[in-house]
Amino acid sequence: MNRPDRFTWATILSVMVFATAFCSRGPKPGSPETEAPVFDPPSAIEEPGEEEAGGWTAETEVPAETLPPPGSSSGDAKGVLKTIYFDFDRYNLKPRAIETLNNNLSWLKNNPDFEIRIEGHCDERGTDEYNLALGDRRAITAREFLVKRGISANRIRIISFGEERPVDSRHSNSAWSKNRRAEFLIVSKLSR
Amino acid sequence: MSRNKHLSVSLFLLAFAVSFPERGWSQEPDLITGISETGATRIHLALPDFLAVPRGSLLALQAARTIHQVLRSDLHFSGYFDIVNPDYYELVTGYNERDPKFQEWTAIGADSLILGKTEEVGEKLLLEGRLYDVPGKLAMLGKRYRGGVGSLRSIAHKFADEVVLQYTGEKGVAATRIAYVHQQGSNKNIFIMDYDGEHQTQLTRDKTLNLTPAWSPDGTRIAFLSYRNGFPELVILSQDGTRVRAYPQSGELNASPDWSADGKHLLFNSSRDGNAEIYSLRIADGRISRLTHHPGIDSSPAWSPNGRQILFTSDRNGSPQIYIMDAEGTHPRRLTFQGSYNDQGSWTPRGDRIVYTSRVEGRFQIFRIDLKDRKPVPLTSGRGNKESPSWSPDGRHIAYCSNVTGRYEIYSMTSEGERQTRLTRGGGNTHPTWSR
Repeated sequence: MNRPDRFTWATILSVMVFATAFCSRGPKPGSPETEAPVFDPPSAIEEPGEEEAGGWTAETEVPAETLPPPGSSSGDAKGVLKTIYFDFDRYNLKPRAIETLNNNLSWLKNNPDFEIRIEGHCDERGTDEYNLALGDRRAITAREFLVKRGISANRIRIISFGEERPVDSRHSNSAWSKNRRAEFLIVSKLSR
Repeated sequence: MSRNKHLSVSLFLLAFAVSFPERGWSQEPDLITGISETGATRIHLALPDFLAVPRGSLLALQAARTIHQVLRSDLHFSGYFDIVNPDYYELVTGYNERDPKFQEWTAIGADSLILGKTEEVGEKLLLEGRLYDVPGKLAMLGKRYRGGVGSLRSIAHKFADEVVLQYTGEKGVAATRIAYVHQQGSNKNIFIMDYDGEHQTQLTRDKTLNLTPAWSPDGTRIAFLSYRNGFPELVILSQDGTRVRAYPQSGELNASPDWSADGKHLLFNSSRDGNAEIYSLRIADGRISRLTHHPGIDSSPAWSPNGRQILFTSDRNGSPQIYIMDAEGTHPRRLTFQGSYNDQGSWTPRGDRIVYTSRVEGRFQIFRIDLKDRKPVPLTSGRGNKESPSWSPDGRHIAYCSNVTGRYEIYSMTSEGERQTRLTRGGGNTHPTWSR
């Protein structure tokens, strides 16, 4: 590599050709090339804040969840009301669900002093937003069934958890079918 | 020997560059005309290392490096620039802000040049940034900033946005933020971060669920769905960490808020009248108007940028599909016809495009529809779900979440689905929303 190879010679030659072509054009009279660019340092100084989150302050911590965890019921009646299940992306009541709802209905008729909460849930396969609406709709469907058969709407509150509170967090058909549900929780005894 | 070789390569490059001296936009003062939406024709930017003064100041040197690196990634992200290979910068010698040596930058193929300097002054740092149009031999922009070590990134973001403004007439997105939901155990809280994933900050601290955040257009408030009081409430959080108000204070579901461009109204999804419908809330007085009247599910509302139309999802024809209606709730018409599950429609800030989530072969992917031809264009494909698309304020990028790694993380990509970049780590990160 002490002597330039053919490629290097060709390169140098081409540089000379181009350089000649370029130089011969020369700067045009009055072109800004001959002047220093007019560019004094800007006088205004911006000073962005030091804070990391652009001025956002976090909330103070809330000590404990005010909401009873899903699936929890109060008192001795825990577990007497059974969960109903739905098909993917559906909120119509299947025959099995109607059977369960009729049993829940009898209990509510026999125990008129109790208030319940119906929780609507979805499997993880939908979008977060739509699942919130779908879970809500499943709870509403169950409430409508009970109200039409004589249960006072005042005794039933509903809440949707969308896909946020699965009973089985695995990603399988059997887990999903368990998660598409409406749960019935006894929340309080009415004071008379 | 190696010196000879290096010289010949350099000369060859010089020859190549010099042979096209009129290349670029030197005859075209209106630079934006050369830039396609996809960034196919990009500006060749030379971004040499920033100068640190006084010599030997470690603080100034570190600041110079940080700002240079953030600026570089901001400008690359913008899609308007290709950074000229730094290996060639050493061919340009003896330049400074008074004499940038335009000819030599042209020779290595630069259309644009940024020179920067950081200076340690007292306990603070001073940054000077200058932008030059190389073929036009013009100084385009000069900025000075002062700050401490903690504000270096935001200084770089601000300067990057100014550079983009010079070339496009529209500010860049480097100073924007993304709000998102982060899962901790079975709880979810609202977080925000810089657009590049830095400065992740927890805003809510509940041991319950906080979902579906939405920015106010001025970036000072975030509306979201909170379960703090035992039922789903729409809450507005202000910048100082206080909950301004919970709306509405009765009713069942109150989800998926979306702020109008004028900041005066919030759309949301509620079952307050017994079925999931779309409502509009006037923030000034809390007046609520019902916009949809259908026994099916109506959800996921989103304003058009001019506030005249609303996107929403409905199962009124049997499966979740995206519809457009007038702002008063009239004239609903179906937008999506492909696929059996479409949701999370979001309108580009320019008003001509919509992105949404569509279920394909059991997985969610992001699609885009141009309102001109209404043809769905897939932006993502392959493994994992991609959900919750949200436009950057310049309409050139999309934030979304995906579990392609096995855990949900926030990503960004261009409006064409290119340059998919992960912004978070550790999993449980969903529902990104880009500030305006």
